[in-house]
Amino acid sequence: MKVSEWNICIPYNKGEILLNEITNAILYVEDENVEEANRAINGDFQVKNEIINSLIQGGFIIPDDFDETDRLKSRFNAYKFSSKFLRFTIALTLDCNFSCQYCYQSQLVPFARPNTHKRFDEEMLRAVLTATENLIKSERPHVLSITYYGGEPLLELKKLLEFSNAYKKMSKDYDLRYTSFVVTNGYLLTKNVAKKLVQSGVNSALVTLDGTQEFHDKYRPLKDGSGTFETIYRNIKEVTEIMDITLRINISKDSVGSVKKLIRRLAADGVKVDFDFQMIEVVPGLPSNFHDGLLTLEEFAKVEVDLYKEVFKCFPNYEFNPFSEIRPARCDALCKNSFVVEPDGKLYKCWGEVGSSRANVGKINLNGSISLNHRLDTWLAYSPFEDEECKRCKIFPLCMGGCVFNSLLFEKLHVSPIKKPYRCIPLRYNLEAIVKLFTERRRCQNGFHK
Amino acid sequence: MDFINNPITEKEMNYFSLCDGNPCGDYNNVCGGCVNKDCPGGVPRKHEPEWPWHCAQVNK
Repeated sequence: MKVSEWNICIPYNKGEILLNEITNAILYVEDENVEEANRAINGDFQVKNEIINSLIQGGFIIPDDFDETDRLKSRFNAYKFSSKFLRFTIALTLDCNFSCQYCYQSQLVPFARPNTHKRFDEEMLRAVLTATENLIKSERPHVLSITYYGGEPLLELKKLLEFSNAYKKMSKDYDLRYTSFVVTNGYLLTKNVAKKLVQSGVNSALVTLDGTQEFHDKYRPLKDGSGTFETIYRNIKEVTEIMDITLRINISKDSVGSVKKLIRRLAADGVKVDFDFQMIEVVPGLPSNFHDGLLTLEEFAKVEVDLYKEVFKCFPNYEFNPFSEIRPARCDALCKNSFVVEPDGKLYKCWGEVGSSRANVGKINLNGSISLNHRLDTWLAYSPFEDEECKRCKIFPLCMGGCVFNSLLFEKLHVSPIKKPYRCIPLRYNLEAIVKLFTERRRCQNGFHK
Repeated sequence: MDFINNPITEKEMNYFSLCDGNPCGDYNNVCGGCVNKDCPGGVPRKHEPEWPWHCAQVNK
């Protein structure tokens, strides 16, 4: 037996918490067992059987010939080349009714190749559906996963419903599961629209609200400058009974207090949503209308923990387990059957490329055939195991290499004029706090204490 | 010593890899009531009435 290379040991009250990053096991060790458990995870296995057995079960102690890097590589490759999924992110339109201060798509406009096809026409819509059907026949996926994206996809509601109804039928015909969601600013997501979406198989939406009115309306106004908060808030309140809403909240240094207020208001109004906290990122050196303070990744990591604490206070039953799944790769864009489709039929890999039209990996032709090019090889050849900095990082198995935008689009393919400010994830800085938060919550829920 | 989060086995990982994300909310330790006894998770989400189909597929 030997000790796993990926154990994290966190002192907790008088005991400690052990996390194994290969299995996601989290083990609470009471104070009376701390000394023996520590001896064991430092290679002295002459301790109580009960302790050894738990450590083996959790993957903290492993067989001598277990190569954990091979395990990670095997997971990564299986995921990357799996045919189980067929994923399309459909950018229904490149137009938007908002003029967000930090919009990255707007920042990229000066570098974008002219794209005359800003919206899907009927012919291309049919071509994408035919191409999907062809891929279903050849790849035999279990899951058809479609994300409706933009610009603002609800500006093209009719086309969205046409796509989704066709995919719903296709999934039934080919006996596969259809899962889909829409990424929207929420301004047009009325009760009536939500009903139509759900009827067509779009059961969830990612909607953005950047704090209370004061900050949201400043950061995310309509094109004419008028506010959008109240409309979106009303929409969210009305549609949560119809569809699952994940609330994306982009946060600046200045807006943290406002975000807490928003969480409290949602709780007071009984609005149940999932929360997705993100930091506002503005690419340095590019024109931007955003002038508030930006959080660094390290600062954001602290803010994220604080915000979750606020969520738990306001929503005592909020489901929170960042360790419920193993992540075989950082991003679905690395998978062979994942594509972003723009209205002209060009195929991309990363959501961050929408609107820049520079690095397509292929194209859907009007007859429904797909032509792929050499850039796809670069995506499929990517391996986080070649990145020495990542491999040395203490959260590598949980992160699997961070955002690949910089390493692929900027450094390798030379098609992006910009580098994103950060590729790492907040867990690099808040892992211990998140594990403690999760443990605290679980122990409370399970009645272990207090 | 209590597992606050159970270790995820490769078998379970493959199972959930069919689920595209987080279909069960949170199966680990707090499975909310399974639609199929053989399924380690499989809690139908509120708005996914077709979910039991998926469990049937996996357990074929």
